[in-house]
Amino acid sequence: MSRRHAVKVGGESDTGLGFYVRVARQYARIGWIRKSQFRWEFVNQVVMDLLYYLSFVLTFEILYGFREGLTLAGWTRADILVFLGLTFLSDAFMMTWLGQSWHFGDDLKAGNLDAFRLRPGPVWFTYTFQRFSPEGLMNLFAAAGLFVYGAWAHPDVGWHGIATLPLALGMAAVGQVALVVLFQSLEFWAVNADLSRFFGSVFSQIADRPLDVYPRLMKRFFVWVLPLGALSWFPTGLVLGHHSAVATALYVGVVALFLGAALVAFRAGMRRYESAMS
Amino acid sequence: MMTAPAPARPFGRLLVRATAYELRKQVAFRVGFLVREVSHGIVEPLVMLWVFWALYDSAGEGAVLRGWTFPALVQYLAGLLVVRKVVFHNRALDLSTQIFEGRVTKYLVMPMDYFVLAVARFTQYTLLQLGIAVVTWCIGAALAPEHWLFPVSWGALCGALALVLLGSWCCFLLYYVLNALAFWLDVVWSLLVMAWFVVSFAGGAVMPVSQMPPALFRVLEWGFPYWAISAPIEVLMGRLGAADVVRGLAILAATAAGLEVLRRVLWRRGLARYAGVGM
Repeated sequence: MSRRHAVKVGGESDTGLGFYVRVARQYARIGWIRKSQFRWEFVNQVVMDLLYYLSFVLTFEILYGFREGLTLAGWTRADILVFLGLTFLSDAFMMTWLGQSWHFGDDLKAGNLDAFRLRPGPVWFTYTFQRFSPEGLMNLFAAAGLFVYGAWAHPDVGWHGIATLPLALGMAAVGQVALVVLFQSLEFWAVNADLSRFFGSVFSQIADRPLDVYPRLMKRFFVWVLPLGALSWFPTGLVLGHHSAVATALYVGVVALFLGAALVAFRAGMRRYESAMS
Repeated sequence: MMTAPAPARPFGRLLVRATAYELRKQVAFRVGFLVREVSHGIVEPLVMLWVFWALYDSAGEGAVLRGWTFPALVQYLAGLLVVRKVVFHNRALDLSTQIFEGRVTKYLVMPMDYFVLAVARFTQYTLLQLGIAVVTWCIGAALAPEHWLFPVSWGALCGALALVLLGSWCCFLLYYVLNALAFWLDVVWSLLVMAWFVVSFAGGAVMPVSQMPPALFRVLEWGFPYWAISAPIEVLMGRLGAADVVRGLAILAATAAGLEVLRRVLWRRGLARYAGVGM
């Protein structure tokens, strides 16, 4: 991408939507080139994620197969299929675009953020989105297949569910970005603690089950304070028609606020950054 | 002037020294130590506790689902919290990265067997996680004695410990073998994660293997993950007896022997094609 496209006259960064799209397109191109060097790893990663999805589907099938009529805090077998489809879509989005976050701790320690500070555009974006993963994209298609199957088989998913799908997917994507950026920010205050990887792993395990199974206070915390609900719980409810328009508007506001807070935290962290921080 | 090669250092002394260094390295960063070592393996059993709670709640009071009551499952998950800590995790080995970056070369010219350094990792991991597992068990026993898992006998404790340690050794060998594939594949990260999924699921890290459908259970009970994770907990609970422990040890010993042969073959052949410069 030419610098002319990225920087306005006078050195001001042009970070409108077009900038993000252009950078993302370049990252995607580089991602395909990189992965063409490791074809075996590409196949392995696709299989790995499919195994991960399979283990989840199998676990819930076994749980519901114990006896007829079992539910998980009100979630029926049909609901769970839609939930898993959206969970995997959300996870595949993260794997496709946000995979570099797993290396944030090491990059921070080694001073690898220096180059990003010099680039036009916000560091949270140019750093976090840099590792486009073609295998993640393959899994996105697999996840989409499961979601379509689950939605097709569900008796309550009709035109309303289809109409709310863009909002549901958007919420899941924004939720993933906000959480990843927030967890990366924590690393600035605890170098070499692997907090980003740790929290990413812990909270994805919590969010991969319907939040209704957790105790009430814990559920409220993960819905309103640290909105893990945005990853797949609320979007699934949206598709299944569980949420009113007011509740949806309120939750969109919460997720937007959370994204804003995560970006502020990242910016504060960058002010602490002094090149190599080991 | 040519000098005679230094004599190989004794395995035992080198192992002790390398283990001490590995331990020191682990505790060098306190927050990292807390995050990576202390909290490892705690979240998933807790998440599954709530999932099972919701499931048994819908099944009605006193429900028995495929041979397991809810209180028995709580004990199983408490056991999982402790046992899973000790079972070797792939994050503790970085052999594939060393091969990829060409860093193995420097060890090959030293008067020692490279494998001893990996065994030191295993020893450090086991000692550290055993200590953390004991502390975890004590905290659980003090906070929730009515729900916690207490071994039915000293014999059961010894049998379970033998199963877990030998099972952990099998995991270590499996990850070593997969890491050694980096001589051919360069990057094996996804293979390691895949192996971890399979070991976790087939070992009963999500639910007791004996609670899975009977056909699936009959297959998984021949695999080492079951005897490394799920079976030891059932031994501690008194659901499996001495004859089962002997059978489990036999399966684990056979697996360990097979993996050891594979490890030696892969290492020898891998070194034969190793250019020593990485990618």
